[in-house]
Amino acid sequence: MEAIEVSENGHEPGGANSIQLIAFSIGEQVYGVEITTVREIRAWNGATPLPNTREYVRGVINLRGTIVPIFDLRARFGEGKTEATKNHVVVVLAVGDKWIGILVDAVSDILTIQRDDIHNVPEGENMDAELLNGIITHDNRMVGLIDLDTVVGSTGEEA
Amino acid sequence: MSELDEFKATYFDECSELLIELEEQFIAIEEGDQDTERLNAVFRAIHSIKGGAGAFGFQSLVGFAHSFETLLDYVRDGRVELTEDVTTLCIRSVDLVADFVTAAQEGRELGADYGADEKRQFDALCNPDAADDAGAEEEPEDFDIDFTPVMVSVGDEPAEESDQFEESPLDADLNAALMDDVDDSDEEALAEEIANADVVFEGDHQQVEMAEQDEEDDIVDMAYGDCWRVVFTPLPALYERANDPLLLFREMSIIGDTVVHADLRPIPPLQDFEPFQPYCAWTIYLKGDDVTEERIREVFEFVEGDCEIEITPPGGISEQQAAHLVGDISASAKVVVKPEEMTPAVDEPVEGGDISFAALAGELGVSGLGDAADEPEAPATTEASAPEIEAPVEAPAEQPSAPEASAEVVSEEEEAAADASLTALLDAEKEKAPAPAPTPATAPAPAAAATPKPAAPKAPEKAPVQSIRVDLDKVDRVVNMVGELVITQSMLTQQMDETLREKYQELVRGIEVLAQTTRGLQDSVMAIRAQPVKSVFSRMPRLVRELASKTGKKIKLEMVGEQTEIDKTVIEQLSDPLTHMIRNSADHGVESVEKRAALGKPEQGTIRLSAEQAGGNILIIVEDDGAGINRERVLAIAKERGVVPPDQTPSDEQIDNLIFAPGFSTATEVSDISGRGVGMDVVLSNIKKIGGSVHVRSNPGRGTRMTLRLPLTLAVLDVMLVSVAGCPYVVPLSSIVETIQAGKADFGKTPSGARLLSIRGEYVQVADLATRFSMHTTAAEQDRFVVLCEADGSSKIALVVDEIIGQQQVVIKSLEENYERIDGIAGGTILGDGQVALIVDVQGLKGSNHRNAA
Repeated sequence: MEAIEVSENGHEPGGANSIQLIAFSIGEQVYGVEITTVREIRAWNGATPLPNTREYVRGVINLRGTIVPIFDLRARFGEGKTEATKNHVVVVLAVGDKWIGILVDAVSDILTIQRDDIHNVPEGENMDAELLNGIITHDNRMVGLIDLDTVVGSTGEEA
Repeated sequence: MSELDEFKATYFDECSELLIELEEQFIAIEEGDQDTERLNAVFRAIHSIKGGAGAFGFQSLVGFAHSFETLLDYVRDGRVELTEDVTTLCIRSVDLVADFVTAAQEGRELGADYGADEKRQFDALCNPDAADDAGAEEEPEDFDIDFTPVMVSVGDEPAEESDQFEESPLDADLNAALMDDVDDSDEEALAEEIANADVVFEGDHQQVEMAEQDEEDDIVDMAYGDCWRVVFTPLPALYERANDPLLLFREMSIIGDTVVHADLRPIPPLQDFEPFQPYCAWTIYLKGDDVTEERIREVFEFVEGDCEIEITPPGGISEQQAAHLVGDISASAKVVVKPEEMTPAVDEPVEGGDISFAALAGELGVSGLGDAADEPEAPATTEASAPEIEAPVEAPAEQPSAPEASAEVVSEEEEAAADASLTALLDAEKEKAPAPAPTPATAPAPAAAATPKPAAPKAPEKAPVQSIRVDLDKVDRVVNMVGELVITQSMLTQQMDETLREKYQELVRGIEVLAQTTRGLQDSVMAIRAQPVKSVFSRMPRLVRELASKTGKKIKLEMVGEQTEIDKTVIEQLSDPLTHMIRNSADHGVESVEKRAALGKPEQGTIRLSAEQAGGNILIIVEDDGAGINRERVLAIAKERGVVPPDQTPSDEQIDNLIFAPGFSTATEVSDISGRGVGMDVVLSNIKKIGGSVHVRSNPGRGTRMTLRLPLTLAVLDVMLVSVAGCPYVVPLSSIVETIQAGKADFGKTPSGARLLSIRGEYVQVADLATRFSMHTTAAEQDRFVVLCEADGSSKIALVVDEIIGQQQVVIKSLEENYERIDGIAGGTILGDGQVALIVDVQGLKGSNHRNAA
C-alpha cells in the first residue's frame, strides 16, 4: 500500500493569480483538481463494495481508521466501470468537510496555471458543463478542471 | 451571547446535579437521618439553585426557591421542626424546583400559581403566628450587603487614579502629598523621594524595602503597626478585565477599618506615560478584630493573578523591620535577585536598573555581588536624572514577577532562608523556589523571569480538584482511537507465527507488552465514560411518588446497585425504557390498596429496581410484587388484535412477551399513566437499538420481573462476521437468534416469489443478502447459511449469507461521516486486516423489504 503524501498547501510559485493542479488521466483525457484539495495519493488496493448505492461508487476503503468512499471517475463520466488494477490510482480529496477518493488511471503531473487561462466549458446537451469547472490548455492538450462538488454531490441523475 | 448561553448550560448542568443531591438527602432524611450536615447540604443546594436563577433572571424559580430556602433555614436552626409532613412537603418541593428548572431551561413559564400551595405552606410553617417578623426573616436572604466605607480616603482613591491619566506626575505628587491618610511629614518625605527619585523606582513596588523606600515605609508601618498590611499592585490584566480597585477597597472596609495609601511614585512624567499601564499601587492598612488572611484573600479572589498581593499580619511588620535592620544578608539577597530578573527582560531600562542596583548594592555595603550586578558604578546613582530612573518603573508592569520575586525573599517567613548562604538563596530563586508555599505573605508564587505573565500564580492550594468537565466528544475521540489501537494490536498478534517468535524475541515481547498496555488503556478509557446508573435511577423515586399519588396506590421503590457503572451513551438511552417499565409496574402491576388487603398482601406495593454486572453485560431488573401478567387477557387481546393467530396457543413465556408487541395494551381503560399501547414496545425498540435485550417473567398473583440486558459499552460491538459474495459483513450478535445451514432449512414461497423460512411453526421473512445487496454469489445454495435475527419486537428476519466466519468485537464507524446513509447498512467497521466490513442493519432490512422484493 504505497502511498505518496502530498503537502497540504501547495505553495504557488506564480503568485496569487496562479493555482496548482494535480493532473491525472482517464483513458486519453487529462483532468485536474486543485492541489490544495488533495490529501493523499495511493495505489488502488480494492475496496469493500457498497450495496444499494450509486453505481459509480466503487465502495469504501479504510484510510487510517476512517471510512472513505471511492468514486469511479470513469463511471461517473458515464464511460463504464474502470477495470481497476494495482496500477490504478486513488486520489484522496477533501471536499467540504468530507474526505473522498477518486479512482483514476494514472496521476501524470503537477501543473501551475494562471487563473486567467481557464476557459469556460462550452454549453452543451451533455453534463460536461456540470462536471467541469473549466478547461485549460497545457502542452497543447485539454485539461478539464473537475467540479468536485458535482462529482461527489448526491444530486446525481441516478435519483 | 453564546457565552451567556454557555453559562446557562453550565448552570442547568449544576442544577440537575444539585437536584439529584437534594433528592438523595431528603430521602435519607425521610428515613430518619436528620443529620445537621444533611440539612446544611440541602440548604446550600437550594441556595445555589436560587443564586444562579437570580443571575439569569428566572424569577418564578427564584421566588419558589426563596420560600423553600427560608423554610430550610428555619428547619436548620430548629425554629421549624422537621416532622414527617414537613419532609414530605420538602420532597414534593424538590420536584417542583425541578419543574421550575426544566421550565426555565426550556424557556417557558409555569403558571403563576404553580407551587403557590407549597409556598403558602412554607410561609405558614415559618410564620405560625402572623407575619410580624416577615421583614426580619427576609433579611438573611438579602444579597446586598450594606456596607459603608469606613475611611474617607477609600472614596478618594479612584478619582485620583483616573485623574492621573491627565495629570503630570507633579500633580500626582501633589495629590499624594494631599492625601490625608499618612502623616504630612511622611508625605513630604515621600514627595521628596519622588523628586529625588534616586533608587525609588521599584523599591516601592511591593515592599522591596530598599534603603530609601524603607524610611517611608518604616514610618508608615510604625504608625499602623497594629494593622494588617496589604500591598496591592494591579497588573494590566486587572483593568483589562474591568475590575475597579475601589470596589476591592470597599470590600476590605467591610472586614475592618481601613486606611488606603496610594503609591504614586511609579507614575512617570507625562511624555513617558503609557495610558494602559497600571502605575499605581496601594498599601491598605486594615484593622479589625476578625481580620484574617483568609478573609483578605477572599476580597481579592476574583482578581487573583491579575494583581500582586502581599499580606502582612500586624505583628509581621515590626519583625520584618527588625529582620531588615539586622539582616544584611537578606537585604543583599533582595538586591541580587533583581538584576538577574530584570536584565534579560527589560531592554532599555536595563542600564538604569543595573546602575541603581549596583549602586544599591554598593550602598548597602554588600560585597561579593560583582557577578550579579556587573561592575557597580556607584556614582551613577546620584547623577541619574528622574526620567531615566523612572523608565524601569514600567518594568514592574510588564515584568511583574521581578519585584515579586524580591518581595518574596523579604517576607518574614523567609528570614531563615535569608540567613542561609547567599548562593543557596540564589539557587532557590532560580529554581523558582518551592519556598512560597509556606509563605503566607506572598500571594502569587514567584513565577519569576520564566513566566512573564503571572497568570499562573494561584492562592495557596485549596482542596484538590475532584473532577473535571470534559466534552463527551473529546472522550469519544479517545475511545475511538483506543478501539483502533485494540484492533491494530490484535492484528499484530495474529500476524505472529512460530518462525517470527523464534527470530525476533524482543519484538514479540514488545508486542506482548503492547497488548497488555492496550488492554489497560481500553479499560481506563471505558471507565472514563462509564457512569453509575444512579443518574437514571435517581429520577425514578419521583416518578413512583407521582404515580402513587395519581393512582391512589401505596408504592415503595427499592433501588439496589445504583453504583453499577455503564457507558454514558447506554445510560442516556436507558431513561425512557426504564420510565415505561416503572410506569407499567405501578399502573398494571401493583394492585390497589383494597385489592392488596383482600389478597392478604401488605398494603404497600414494592417495586424493586436493581442493577448488576453480569459478565460483559449489565442487568437491570424491574420487579414488582403485584398481580403479574394476566395471561388470559393478554392472549385474548392479542388474538383480538391479530397479534397472534386465533388458532395458536403460545407458551406462557411467549404470552408474557406479547406485552412488547407494538400497539398492545391490556388496560381496559386508557389511563393517564399508561395504557395507550405505546410504551412497552418502545422499551423493546430502545433497548434493541443499544444492543440489549428484554426478558419478562411473570408469576401470576405474585409479581412481574422484567430484565434488561445491556452491553457494557456501545463503542465496541460484538458481531458475527459473515461473507456474502466474497465481501465481509457483520451482524450484531445481540440480534442473532440462531444460525441454520441453508441445506437443512425449510423454505416456502409466497405467490410474489418471496421466500419464507418455516421454523418451529413460525414463518419468517427471508432476506438473501446477495440478492438484497445486488451481488452475485457463487456459493451453492445448500452450502449457505441462514442467520435468524430478531429485528424488533417479536418479529424475526432470516438473513441468508454465504459463509459464517466467526465472532469478534468491532468498533462502529460511520459511513455518513464521509459519504451518506445506505439502506440496509447500519455502518462500517475495520477488520484486523484493514479491510472495511459493513454492518448489516437488521431492522432496516426488514422494513425495506417490499421495495426490493420484486
